Amino acid sequence: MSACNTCKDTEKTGVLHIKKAVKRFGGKTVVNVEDIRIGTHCIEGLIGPNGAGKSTLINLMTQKLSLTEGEIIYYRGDEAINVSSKNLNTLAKLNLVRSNQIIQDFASLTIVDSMILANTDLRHEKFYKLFNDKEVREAAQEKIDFYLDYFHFDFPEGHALSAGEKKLLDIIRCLILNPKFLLLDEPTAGLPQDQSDKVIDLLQKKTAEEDMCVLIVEHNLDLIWRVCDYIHFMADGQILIQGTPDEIKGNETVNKKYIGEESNA
Amino acid sequence: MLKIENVVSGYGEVSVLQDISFEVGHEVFAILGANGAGKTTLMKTIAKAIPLMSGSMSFEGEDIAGETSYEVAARGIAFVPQEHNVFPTLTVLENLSVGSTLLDKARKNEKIEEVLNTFPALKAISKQKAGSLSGGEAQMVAVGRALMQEPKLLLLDEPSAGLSPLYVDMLFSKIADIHKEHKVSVLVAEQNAVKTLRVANKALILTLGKIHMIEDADKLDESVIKEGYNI
Ligand SMILES: Nc1ncnc2c1ncn2[C@@H]1O[C@H](COP(=O)(O)OP(=O)(O)OP(=O)(O)O)[C@@H](O)[C@H]1O
Ligand SMILES: Nc1ncnc2c1ncn2[C@@H]1O[C@H](COP(=O)(O)OP(=O)(O)OP(=O)(O)O)[C@@H](O)[C@H]1O
Ligand SMILES: [Mg+2]
Ligand SMILES: [Mg+2]
Repeated sequence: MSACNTCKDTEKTGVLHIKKAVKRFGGKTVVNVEDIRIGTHCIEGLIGPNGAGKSTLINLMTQKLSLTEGEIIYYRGDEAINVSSKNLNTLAKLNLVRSNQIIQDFASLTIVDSMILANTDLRHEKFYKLFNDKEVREAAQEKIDFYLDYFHFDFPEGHALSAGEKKLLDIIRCLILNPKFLLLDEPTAGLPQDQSDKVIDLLQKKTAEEDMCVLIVEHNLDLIWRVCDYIHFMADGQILIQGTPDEIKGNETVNKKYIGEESNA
Repeated sequence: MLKIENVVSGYGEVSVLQDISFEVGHEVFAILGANGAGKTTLMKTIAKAIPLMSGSMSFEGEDIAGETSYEVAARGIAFVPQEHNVFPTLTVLENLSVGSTLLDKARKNEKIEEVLNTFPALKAISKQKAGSLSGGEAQMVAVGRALMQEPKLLLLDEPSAGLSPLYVDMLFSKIADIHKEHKVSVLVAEQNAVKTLRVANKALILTLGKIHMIEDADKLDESVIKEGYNI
């Protein structure tokens, strides 16, 4: 398949082990995952129908929501970190980073300032001088230049205000944080083909060259088939099927519950 | 039915759309363009969510340039925004009902049935607050609410974003259906150009706030579209 099995060094990027994880809202069970590992391949996909529980699972893995039952352990090197008992800051320090499905607003910051903020460890900087401090800016300059050029932002000193601009900026901010384990919730929804191709190329390059692995939630199946080394199929809160793109593509359950006739033809 | 001439609009003092002129008849009309090209701004301008800076706009022959969003909605223009498009504290059913305030009770129930059949996933969650819905479920509610209005002109801003492949197909066949069966005109901004052009008659490509081209949908192929996106 891909070069992934050889390039992947899970010692450095870590693996998330989800064990008997249950999330209920009121009486409704939204996530019910028996036993899976995420992060054993460079780029993995999490797909499934609307309402399957994908975003909720990501929220559980990143402490945006707490588990009703079960546990999620992040194994990296000799460490075993119980994610379910850590707060968001601790997770960020572990370089476990996520993007957001719902478009985030950074309307009060310019595109460049948003990048500077992402590149800065706020505990060491005085907030008021953050955006006009020469050192802070210089530290981020190389990355800023790269991303502005790569994604062709027309007005970098302006604000990201269209839906797609905001979406892209969210992904860039995630990447600037130097994630080892990156969770992306619908990163290309609302991006035109050429921009989503660029996002994907960049993820492939980074996972190949750096210690980074990615989990992508997406409904854009062309993209999922193309880039994922391994796929988890979720429906009704459960992980029903796991496998390589070729294994998932022809699967009857996946077709019936998720893809439908037309797109499959 | 919708005629737009020399329209300039934007936010505050800043104009985003420059000199936009086009006409939408009884058709499915696609709005394409790169991120930040002005698709949402155009939709909001027509729906009166932002004011016109200059130019003229008419619907079914009547001037609507000075009207409010309520007035154009009452004329039969329904708008599904790209963001923040459900009432989070209302349930799914209540969200749908908001769209049908002009219908009598029997008609309203019929329409709710129709929307639930269009998006079957909504049936099981009809009493759930919209603020707790998944991304795709919320998108279905937003489109559903506009269908409840029995509009003459439907404005859809990236309606397929967040929907599963199965539901993307259902959405586009619904668009084709309401156009054919109920003579609804549809103006749809989409990144999913391929599927949009399958149901659209005509397409407009926006580039940096200006019209790059207007063309019959069947004459547009990938290379033509790309050109519009890259300028
Ligand atoms: N507070 C809540 N109360 C009841 N149900 C909830 C609540 N929050 C989420 N849900 C339900 O949990 C299910 C899973 O939602 P989730 O956002 O994880 O789905 P998803 O797989 O990400 O779907 P999508 O592809 O549409 O984004 C949905 O059916 C949603 O309505
Ligand atoms: N509320 C706002 N205030 C000021 N400028 C805005 C606002 N919303 C959008 N803009 C700017 O107007 C331009 C057009 O934005 P618009 O949202 O119409 O683009 P779009 O074609 O819908 O893009 P996308 O594909 O990303 O949704 C962009 O440069 C954007 O930054
Ligand atoms: Mg989701
Ligand atoms: Mg838009």
